[in-house]
Amino acid sequence: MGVRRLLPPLAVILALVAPLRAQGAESILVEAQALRRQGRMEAASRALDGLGEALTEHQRGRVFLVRGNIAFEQLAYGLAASLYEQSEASFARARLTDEESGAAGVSVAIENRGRARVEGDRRRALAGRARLVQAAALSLFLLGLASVGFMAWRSVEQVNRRGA
Amino acid sequence: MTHEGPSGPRLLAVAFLTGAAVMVVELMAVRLMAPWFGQSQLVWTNVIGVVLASLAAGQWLGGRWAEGRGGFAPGSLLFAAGALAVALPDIVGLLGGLVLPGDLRLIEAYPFVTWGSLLVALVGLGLPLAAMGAVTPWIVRLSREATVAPGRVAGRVLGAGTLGSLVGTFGATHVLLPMVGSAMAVRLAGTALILGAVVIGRPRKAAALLWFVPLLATLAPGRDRPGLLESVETDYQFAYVDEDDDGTRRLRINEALDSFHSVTVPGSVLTGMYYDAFLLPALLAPPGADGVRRAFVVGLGGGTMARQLDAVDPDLVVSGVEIDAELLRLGRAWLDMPADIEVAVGQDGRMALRVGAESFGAILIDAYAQQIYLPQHLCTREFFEQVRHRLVDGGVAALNLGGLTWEDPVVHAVAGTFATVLDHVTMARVPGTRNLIALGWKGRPPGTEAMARVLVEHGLFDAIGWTVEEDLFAAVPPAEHPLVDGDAPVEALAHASWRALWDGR
Repeated sequence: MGVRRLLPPLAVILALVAPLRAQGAESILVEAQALRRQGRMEAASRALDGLGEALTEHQRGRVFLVRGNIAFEQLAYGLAASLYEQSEASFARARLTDEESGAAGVSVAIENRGRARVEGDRRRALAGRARLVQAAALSLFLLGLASVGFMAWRSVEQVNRRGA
Repeated sequence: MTHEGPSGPRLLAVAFLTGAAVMVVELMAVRLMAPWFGQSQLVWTNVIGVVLASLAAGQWLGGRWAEGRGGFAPGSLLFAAGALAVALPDIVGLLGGLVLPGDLRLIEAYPFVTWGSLLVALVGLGLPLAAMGAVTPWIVRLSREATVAPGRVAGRVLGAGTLGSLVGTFGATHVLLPMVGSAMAVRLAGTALILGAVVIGRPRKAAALLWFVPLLATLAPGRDRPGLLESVETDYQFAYVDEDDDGTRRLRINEALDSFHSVTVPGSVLTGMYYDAFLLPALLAPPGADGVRRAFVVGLGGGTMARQLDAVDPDLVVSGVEIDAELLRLGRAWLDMPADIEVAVGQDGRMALRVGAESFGAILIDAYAQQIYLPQHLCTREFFEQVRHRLVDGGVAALNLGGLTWEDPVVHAVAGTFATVLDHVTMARVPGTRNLIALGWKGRPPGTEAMARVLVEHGLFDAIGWTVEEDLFAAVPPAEHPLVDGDAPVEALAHASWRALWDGR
């Protein structure tokens, strides 16, 4: 049986499952992101209007990550800031940081009743630095082992030389 | 048989001195690293691991060198170890500042604590400890009886070294630390090693050049702490109080990063932070059999919650436990902590709840401030059973948990364990923070209206009315596999928590 034969029933299953999945905030963000990719910014903004309700009704406490360019994130920032008044201060600070750096490719974390934060580039830089520290520690450990090995080899060489 | 060199007692004295210095350096190294990496199990493991690996390598190499196969003489080894130990506080300060990013948040610190502390331990401790390890075989070799009674000599030298370690261990904690602090303790140990070098033989010129290490290290820039009011090295940690431009004062501990343990906002009982949320359960504390309403704070710190409760509800008898007496002193000196609040000082939270007899209407547990330090014995089912035992009927216990989401492995495990013991457990995020508050009731909780009424009576509804919003708090299901004494893998949970954050899940 070829793979092609499986595709129609698979499509039906996906069609049935997709609306069920399209209940929460992720689907709204995905839809808005797709509209943004098509250049339909106003439509993307309207799609995001439903974000607040979705976030307050679904999956309390989860963090949703949206990755894209600055224009899209700023759209989300504004909405999130107005939706979650209590978090506006931390949110505004995050946005300022972003504007100052002018970095592209940032991500936004929008949390139910919580804060939205610019993470992306900063997190990547931190991860890079953490890997550097890890590599340095491991290298030094291996260097120490190699040094001990070298000294042992050298002392054996000296004994052999004396013997010869 | 060797007939030259220092006498037997001198050699044994050097073995004793080296053994003592090893333990002083090891114990104090963790303290020196605390302002950057804390002193969690992870840091202890890295330090002990590096110390043991370095000693092993040094002992093995020293054995070869003592047989005349190249390498360094014992005088040079002791001198090098001493010079590097004298410089250790500055080396740790320099490296700690280089390894840690300036804007690092506590919740992001896990890999830096794990690998950064290993790196600093390797750089700072590797060479001096290897040098100290290499001295012991030399001492055995230099002994006049080494060839006729090698077993007896080795036993005597090892015994002297171990005895020195014993003295170093107790001396470091009970004498040096309280008298001169960790940095000076390490420098004294280093100086003692240099004296040992003089006793055992003249160090070579190459080793003598290491004098420059302490001199250069002192040029390293220190950590800048703006607004610092007081810093102190306590018996347990490095603590300091700082002040913002707006007059807000915070008590911070060890590496702290963006976290703090206690806070005072000028002109306000409320802080606008998670502490305020704990007013609700305390205000709801039912009276005991004697008609007195009591609240108990586990992990009192600088006394923020106790101070708030004392001001908001004078009828409530507030007491607490704090293991570190210096934190209380700082709280009273800088953070307006009332002097009349009864505090069990120097006791662990679990011990305090086990030995007392009083029952409380509310028990507030603020001991999980930093997930890396989650005290495993304060998050197990057995501990929560003790908490329940000390609650009056209708009483409430409140936990402060740190985490960004409900799904956070630490939050999930601790709150779930809490729910296996208390009758009704709910949890909510404190808005705008990374704190969650879990409330567990012994019996049925009061209704939302009754809670709101209490807040209104105390004039707190506008400030913390969110704590009675029904849709904010959600029931916590009991954990299928609760944390229990002997099986509470908090380090693994903290690691999973950090992975979840890092991966953006």
